Amino acid sequence: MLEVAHLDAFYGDGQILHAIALDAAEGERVAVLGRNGAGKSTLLKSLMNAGPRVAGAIRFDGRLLAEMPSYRRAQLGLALVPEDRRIYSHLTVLENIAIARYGAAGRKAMEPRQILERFSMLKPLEERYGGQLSGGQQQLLAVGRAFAAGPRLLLLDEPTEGLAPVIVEQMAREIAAICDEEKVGLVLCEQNIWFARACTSRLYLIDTGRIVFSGGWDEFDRNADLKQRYLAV
Amino acid sequence: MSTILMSTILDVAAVSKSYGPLAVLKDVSLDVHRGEIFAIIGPNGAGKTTLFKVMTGESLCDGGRVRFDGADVTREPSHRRVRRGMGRTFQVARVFRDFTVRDNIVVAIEARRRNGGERVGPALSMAPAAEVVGEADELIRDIGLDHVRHSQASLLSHGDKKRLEFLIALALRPSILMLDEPTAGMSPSDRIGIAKLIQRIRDERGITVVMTEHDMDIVFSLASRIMVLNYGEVVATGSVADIRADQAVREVYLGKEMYGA
Amino acid sequence: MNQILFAGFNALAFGMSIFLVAAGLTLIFGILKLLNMAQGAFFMIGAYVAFSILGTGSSSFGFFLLAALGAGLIVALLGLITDRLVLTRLRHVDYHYVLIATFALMMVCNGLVKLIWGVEFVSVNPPTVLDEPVELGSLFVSRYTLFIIAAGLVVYLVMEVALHRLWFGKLMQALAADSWMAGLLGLNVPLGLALSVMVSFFLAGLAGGLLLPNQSLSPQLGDSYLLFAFFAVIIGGLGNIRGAFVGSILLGLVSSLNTVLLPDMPGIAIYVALAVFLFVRPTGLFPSRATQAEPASDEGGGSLARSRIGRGVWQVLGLAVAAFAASMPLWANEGLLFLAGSTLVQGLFALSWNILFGYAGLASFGHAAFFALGAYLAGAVLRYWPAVPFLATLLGAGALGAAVAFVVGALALRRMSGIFLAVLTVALSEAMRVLISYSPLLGREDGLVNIPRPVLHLPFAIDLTSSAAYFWFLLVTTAAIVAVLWWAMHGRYGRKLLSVRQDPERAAFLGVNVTGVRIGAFMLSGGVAAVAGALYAPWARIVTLDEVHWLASTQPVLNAMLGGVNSFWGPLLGSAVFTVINYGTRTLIGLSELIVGTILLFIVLVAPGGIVGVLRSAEAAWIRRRGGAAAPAAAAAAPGAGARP
Repeated sequence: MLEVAHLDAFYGDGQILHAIALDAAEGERVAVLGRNGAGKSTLLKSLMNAGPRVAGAIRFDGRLLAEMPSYRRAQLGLALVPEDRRIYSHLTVLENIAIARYGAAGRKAMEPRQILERFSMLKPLEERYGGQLSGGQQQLLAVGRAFAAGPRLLLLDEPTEGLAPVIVEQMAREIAAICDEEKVGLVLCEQNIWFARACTSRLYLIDTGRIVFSGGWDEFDRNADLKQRYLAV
Repeated sequence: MSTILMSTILDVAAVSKSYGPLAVLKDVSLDVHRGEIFAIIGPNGAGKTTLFKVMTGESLCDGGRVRFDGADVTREPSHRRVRRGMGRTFQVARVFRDFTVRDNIVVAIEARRRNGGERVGPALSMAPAAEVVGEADELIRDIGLDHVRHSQASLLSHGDKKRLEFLIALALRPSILMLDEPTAGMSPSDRIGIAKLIQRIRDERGITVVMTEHDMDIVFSLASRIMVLNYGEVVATGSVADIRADQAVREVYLGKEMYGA
Repeated sequence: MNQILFAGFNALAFGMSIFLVAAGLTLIFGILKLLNMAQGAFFMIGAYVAFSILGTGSSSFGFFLLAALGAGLIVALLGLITDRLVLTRLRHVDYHYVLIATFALMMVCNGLVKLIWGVEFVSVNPPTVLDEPVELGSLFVSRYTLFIIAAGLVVYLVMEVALHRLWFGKLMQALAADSWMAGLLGLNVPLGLALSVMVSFFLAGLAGGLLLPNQSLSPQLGDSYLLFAFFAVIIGGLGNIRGAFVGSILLGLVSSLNTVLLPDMPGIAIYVALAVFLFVRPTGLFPSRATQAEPASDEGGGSLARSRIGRGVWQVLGLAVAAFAASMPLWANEGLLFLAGSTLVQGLFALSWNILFGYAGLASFGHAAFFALGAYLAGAVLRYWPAVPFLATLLGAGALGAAVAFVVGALALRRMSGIFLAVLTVALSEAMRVLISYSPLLGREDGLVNIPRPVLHLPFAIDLTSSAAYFWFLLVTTAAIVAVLWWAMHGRYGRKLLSVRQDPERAAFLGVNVTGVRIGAFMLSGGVAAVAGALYAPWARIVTLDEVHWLASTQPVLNAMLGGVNSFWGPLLGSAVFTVINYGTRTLIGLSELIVGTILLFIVLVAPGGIVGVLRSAEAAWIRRRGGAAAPAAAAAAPGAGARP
């Protein structure tokens, strides 16, 4: 479904990504692991054409995206949940979800109510303003909102950053379940190995803007030095 | 810790703050002892940032009182508190990006001398005074930024920028340093470097440190006392051992935020 | 009683007229965060378009409405073109450059209007139906007045419902709050923004059409309405439609009271009211919910990069230029010498503006007020009190300029946003123009003429009556002031200013009183501008209201931008180059606004670093090509950074 070949990305004069190759099949869930500053966020933003200057080929359903603006990509079924969540603080929870339906563009969207059922912890909050939510609630809303457009490929940028451990567990279960049910693919950028493993079937390692490893979790586990070299704490 | 060091330097009493209908801080009180490292933790959106801003003067509280170094500073703007000896770093390092590393320190030292009524330098000279430059270079060497002394600040690496920001704060010779998530967005090795730096600042210069931080390893290894904030309320305050053992804290940190709404 | 009621109706009608203009202004600000200085000009274009449709004769009510709608649509189309050509390029640019660009756009529009419709006053009657009074009890009110009140109410209600009640409004709010995220959610952001620009311009055009009758239509129409609309929006709270509505009505009331209580000085109360209001409630009646923290723009704007060419080269060059200038009285004719002297004054004026902009990061759009303050002071003293030593007059002018700057700065800069300073400086120059036009001592509309040149009474007398002598005096004084400023800007004062400009919050945490530093810089800037004015009065020997016109305020902006705001010498260079351009195009009389506006717009969009910026990039490229280790610092400090996304 998604094929990325030889992707370079730049901010100003600085090149952040170098010749990235990455793919995800229909409904497949993959993780991109790497340290802070390795280029994970830039990669996701490049896929959406939402910031960096990009060179290289990004194909979605075999179609070259080239200069297509981010709203058109969203309408094709790509949904990015940015690291900083970007909840509309002056809109209610329900409105935040409803507003994302415009991205469905003819695909079958999920009803806002359905999403509230699905992410049941949002249910009692539906009339609250986005600005009144805690960080964890905002994160959940951001993910829920992304589903409102009936996406085909979800791009999640460090959804666990700053969340309490138990919420991370909960979120892993939720995301895996809903992706299975709705047949949604996932590209997950993370530093939290446990969470990434729980959500995905294989992974890429990214370091200083380059893909340094690609394979299944088993293979990753067999190469203990990978973790040491690229993710070491 | 000796009793001499136990005097209070920063005293926050029953502070509250609302944005519109949302109460962000509810009757928050804390006292920071001279010479300690005091950490404030809590989930995202617990009010840490707001509390921080109320202490530094970037926003003023609706109710309550802030005392710093014996003076009531509740309504004072930031620059006055700085002149009383409060230093600060930001979550995303803020430095004067068009200046060189050295000039960043020079403006800080010049500001300190001006604030203290000291002579900044020879009346007519354009270049900074020799003793100002000397002091700047010594600080730069001490913190290990010598290799980039003449680089423009905007071109520094993330970690070096953070170190430079610490340097700017130190150049003001503060009695207290307020650190807002000092290791946010850093690589693990940079995190360890910054943690060592904070410890050194406290040990060698006797500067009191107040910090918010997400990385529990760093908090537990550095802090003398910890305060836990949730929904704008203090859940607990105490030593590392106390906090680790506290049932309420465990609950908050273990997901109260999701279920409590 | 009747009188009060009548005044009330007038107040409401005037308030609604202001609101009709302010509605579009506040809408485009709310969504694009763009303070459109050209809104008044497009309002005026709307009025002219409606006039072209209607003609001067009487017309039916329906045709009148149709003409207004037509004007709205045509201006909306112009808005679309403007958006494509100009506004889209300004979306990620420091707001000062946006202000300057829309200011330039306003000049272009004014120039075009003069070109197409001429400068004569035209007046249009209201449609026949509205042209007669209605009897309300014992009161006669013109139907047109009632119509305007109704029109204002309708526009307000439509906007209120659309923005706050309809789902469409939620979408617009989302777009306004975070257009990046809106794009990620699949909203067609470019379309939404273009639409809001078009609606805003439509409102401007519609207002022009509706307010056309009972006006004397002239190319000055836009200015006054724009200013009042700005005031209304500021009083109401920027970007808030309800605020603009209430603010407009308040202004209408104040202006109406003014006519009743102070009939001799029409129009003055509004300025006083604005000043008082800003002092009491600086955030406006309906402050926007999202507090606008001042962004530390991540584009390196303030870097006053040094050239890599050795200082010696520049010193030799500087001496050569000075020597050339000093020799001019010996060979140049009177006209050329006058031009050279005026360039010196303009250079100093532009430098004073750039101390504020380039070093403190604040823009003044009414800097002519300070210049005129000095010019009128010197003119009046030389004419009426010739015994006062001229050097004392110069110092007095500087002190007066600084004092006025202190008052304006204290009012405007308590808010962190520089937008207030921009609007308040425009207001200052307008208020000064109004005041001077009432003052017989200052020659009202005719200005001060036959200003004598002074004789300096140092231990020995120096007679400056001749052009040559005064030119040399001008040269020496300007050089001395420039030297002092150069010293100050490159020493620790300059460092302090630049640190505040780069990151005000960081500077506050050095214990720097940011507001104080900014007010101080504004005082220095205003003082120097006033001295430039005081130097100019005896040189030109005439000072008129033209000196306070906003066109005069544009001159230093243009000169500084042309030369390069990221360089100390840029404004001086720009002034010289502009004199040459002006001299070259002197036969194109009447097109000055168009030319000046176009140049300014071109610089902002294409080469925001000005001439110095272009030279620096060329220098950097040359050094790189020679394979020299091009210091990254030099490359990053390359000019133009201020306005490139």
